[in-house]
Amino acid sequence: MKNTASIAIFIHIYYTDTWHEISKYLLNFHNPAILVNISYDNPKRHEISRKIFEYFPNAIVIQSANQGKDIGAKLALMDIYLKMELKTDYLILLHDKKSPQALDGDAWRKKLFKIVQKESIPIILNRFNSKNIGMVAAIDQIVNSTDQNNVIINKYKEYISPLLAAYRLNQKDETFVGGTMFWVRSSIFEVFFNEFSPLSIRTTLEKGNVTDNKEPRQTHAWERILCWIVTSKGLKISGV
Amino acid sequence: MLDSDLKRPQDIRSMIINVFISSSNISLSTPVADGNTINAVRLEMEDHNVLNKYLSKDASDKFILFMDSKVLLDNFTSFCHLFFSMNYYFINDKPLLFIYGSTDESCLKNLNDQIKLQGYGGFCFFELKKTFDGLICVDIYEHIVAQKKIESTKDLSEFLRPRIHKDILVICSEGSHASNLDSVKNVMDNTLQSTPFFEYYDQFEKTRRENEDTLNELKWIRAQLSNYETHLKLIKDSYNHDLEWYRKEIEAIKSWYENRYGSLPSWMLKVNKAFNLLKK
Repeated sequence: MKNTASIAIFIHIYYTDTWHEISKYLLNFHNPAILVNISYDNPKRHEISRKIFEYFPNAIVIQSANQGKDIGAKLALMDIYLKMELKTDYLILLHDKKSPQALDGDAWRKKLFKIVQKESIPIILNRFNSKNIGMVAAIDQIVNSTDQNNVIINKYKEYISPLLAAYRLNQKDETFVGGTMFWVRSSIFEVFFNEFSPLSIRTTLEKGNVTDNKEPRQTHAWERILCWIVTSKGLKISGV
Repeated sequence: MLDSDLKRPQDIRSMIINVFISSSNISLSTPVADGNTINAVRLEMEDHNVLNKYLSKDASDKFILFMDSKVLLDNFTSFCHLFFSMNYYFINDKPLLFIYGSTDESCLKNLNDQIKLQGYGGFCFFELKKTFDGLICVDIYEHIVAQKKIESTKDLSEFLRPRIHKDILVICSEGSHASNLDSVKNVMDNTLQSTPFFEYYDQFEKTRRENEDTLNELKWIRAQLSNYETHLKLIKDSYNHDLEWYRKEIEAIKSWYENRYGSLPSWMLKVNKAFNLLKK
């Protein structure tokens, strides 16, 4: 499918063996701006970088220390995107999370990548024709934090509250995309991150592979906030 | 011992890293030395040319920032993205940074804190005069402590000889690097040729690099292992949580059934037995 929308795809590569799978999805797009952040810890990062340029010579490839997991990596890419003054209609955020904690990790990842499958692209672009849609994600990944009587999820409400105030976000509902893989209207993120430096936000995130099963984390709080940047504008998250 | 048949291996050039001090107005036509080349890019303000150059496919050259420490500190987020370039030069996992201007302890500490906040282990600083001129040799494996202003080929030879197996930074000032580099290459050739047991030094260097790569792989595997251990624990916790829920449910059904009918049917005893086996 050949589309005329301009798209920038942010990709975080953490593992050594996932680029090949991701690259296949990228071929579904017509001339997107590809920005890749390979974890500095990845011992094969230079080899992966060469492979990326082999197929996508205009890609922008960076590396960054493992801070804030894929969220921190995407914030670093957002900073590059703004500094390079790229202008696009939509941003797509992807990463290569294997999620070993999910017993069906493979099926789970395929669900996440549904948003870059060939048949999904026209559907998603069509969704964006509706002015009140700001973000599109795989339907299974759209979570409402009031859905579950979960201690950690409830703790997040208290934890995130000061962050919402600091970033002047008027949270309309508690829906967010678990896994931080989605399409978003570029203009929404451009405005927000021009006001609040992505690199400054990145400094607040935890180092290493943090999990939030015991207590809320800044990194996972931003998983929610990235979505609430959109919903606080009165726009909706649509599922495919 | 001098072996007249001794061939200089191709990768031995990597022992010398040539650093050009250049202005921000750099281009891909920057002279490239015969060996690894690093451009030290002197910046006084944010420059998109630098970003574009070092993020592109063709950016094969490594680079280092050369800045006024105070300017960098005051505008850290404006320059920080350059340390994300795949081509930025790191020493022991720390970005190498050439600085001039204020080099007091608090300024350097603050700069270190800034880069640590981005997840790196700190900077590897090297102080250089803004108007630096000439040639300086630096031994990076002595944490940049060993350095020498090179006034003559004899100086260069003396510096190189005990460090012939190490990575050396040869810092050349702008404008004179071409002649300097020729001179460095000549001295390097002569020093190598006259160094006894040269092949062992070469082997040492290769082994050192392989060792470095292996250690990196090991670090990565350990990180992955720790990741999987955490996730395994999560799965176990979740399993125990679910198991506990079923245990309580079965106990409740058992009590209810016993109260109502006086005894348990055989199928329920089987379920109970199977569940108890599962717990073990």
